[in-house]
Amino acid sequence: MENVLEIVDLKKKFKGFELNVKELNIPKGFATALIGENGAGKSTLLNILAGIRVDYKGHIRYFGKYEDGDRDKEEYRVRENIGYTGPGGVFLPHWTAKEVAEVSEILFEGFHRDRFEQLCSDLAISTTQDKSKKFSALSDGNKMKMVLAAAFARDTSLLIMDEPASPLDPLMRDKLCCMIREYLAEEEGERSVLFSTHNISDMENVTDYAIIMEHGKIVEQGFVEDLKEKYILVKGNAENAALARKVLYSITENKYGFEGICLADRLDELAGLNVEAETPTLFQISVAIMKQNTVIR
Amino acid sequence: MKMLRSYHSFVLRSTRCLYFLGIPLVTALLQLWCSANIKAPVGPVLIRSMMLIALIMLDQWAFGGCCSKHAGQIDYLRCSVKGKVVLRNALIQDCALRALVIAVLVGICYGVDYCIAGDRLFVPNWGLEALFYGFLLYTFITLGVLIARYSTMFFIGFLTAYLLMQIASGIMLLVFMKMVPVWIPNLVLGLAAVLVTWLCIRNPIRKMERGYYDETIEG
Repeated sequence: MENVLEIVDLKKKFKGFELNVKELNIPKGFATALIGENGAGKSTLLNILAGIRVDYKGHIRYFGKYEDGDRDKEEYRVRENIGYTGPGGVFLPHWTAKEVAEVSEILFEGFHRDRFEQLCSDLAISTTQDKSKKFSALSDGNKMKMVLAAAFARDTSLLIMDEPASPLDPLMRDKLCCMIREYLAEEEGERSVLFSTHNISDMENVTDYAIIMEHGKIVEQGFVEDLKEKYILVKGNAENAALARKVLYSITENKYGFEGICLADRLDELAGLNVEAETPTLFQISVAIMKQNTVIR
Repeated sequence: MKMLRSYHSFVLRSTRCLYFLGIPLVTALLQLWCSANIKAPVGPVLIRSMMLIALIMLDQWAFGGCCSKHAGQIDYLRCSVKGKVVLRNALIQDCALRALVIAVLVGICYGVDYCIAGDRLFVPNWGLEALFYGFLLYTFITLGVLIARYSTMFFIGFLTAYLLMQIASGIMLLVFMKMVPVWIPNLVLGLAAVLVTWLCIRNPIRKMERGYYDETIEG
């Protein structure tokens, strides 16, 4: 299987935090979700991969052939082939949709103005009032829509998106999932998407590969289907909770019963207990793994 | 053309209209009134002081805050290989157009005054005096712009403009009253103009370059 990104020994140290990724491969042709609690290092990692932060140690290989030092060489088109969306202000505050289009045409050869305007229309940020509104005057949701429109209006091979769903309403999140699926389908396996998210449930239906981070480290990764076979959701009666707690990653109890996640390999250890096993959702797997590693009490 | 497009990306049409049409028109009208009603040197000093404040404040709507601590919005430019070039082109264009606008404004002042009051301003070394006003305005406006770009607060820009206006007015009066030979400030301001222009282009670029680095601890 080809990888769109290969990361080896990536380290970045702040006061009180260290990003330390020994090895990470992002598969090509899939949508990869980067999941973790606040402060896990998701944005730090994505900023490095997008090339907007360059103070780190380690190696990154792009599209199977370019090193991180090749990012700034125009002939290799590494940055040209990466679309980035971030939280907060990506554009200058006084830019309107017109300035975003004009500066994008100068910055990126593969930017299509007509596609940008069509996307603005599709995402309902094309009213006359919104078009002439400065970026800083837009709501958080409309800001993200404009940033997404600018990214999807370019010919890219990789989209790196930092919490694209956070400021969006549920309908727009569904629309975003459709846009990601269409983006991946258009080039038949040549395009990839890497996004971080807290809205695991909303983004699960578009996620093929999941990476879970805690405290700057990768604690779990894999294709969602494989993770759903690796972990199992166990439900049982309250009287068995004490025994089950020893096996489960995380447990939620009330006076009637319990449920929790455990490794499928360890299900045998619960033999003899009156429990039901179900396939967990990515949300349940992520929360269980994060609970295992968190410092939150 | 690319340089102009880069400049247009940062400076909105409304700001450009004010810059190239609004301010020259207001300057012409003010000079008209001063030439007709005020004979003392306070007239030209007043007009040029107002020009100084207006041009420093206008920059707030274009590059305002680009050197400030939280100039994070420049990330979109950092995503592209051409980001630094676009910003540099826009800044060079900004300085060049500022010099042109100031030259035109000084020309308007002399032209209007000649039409109203005859050759009152056209003393034997009027060319050197006109050059002095051009250098003075350009240097102080560019210096004000350079300082104001370190803050996102409009008030800081205004305060900077006001303080520089006071200093510039003092220098203008000294020259107008022939207390200093005009070639001395011309020489000093000419050199200062080169220095502030270089800083005005260099500093935002350096801010953008520094933005690629967080407060990482080595080791």
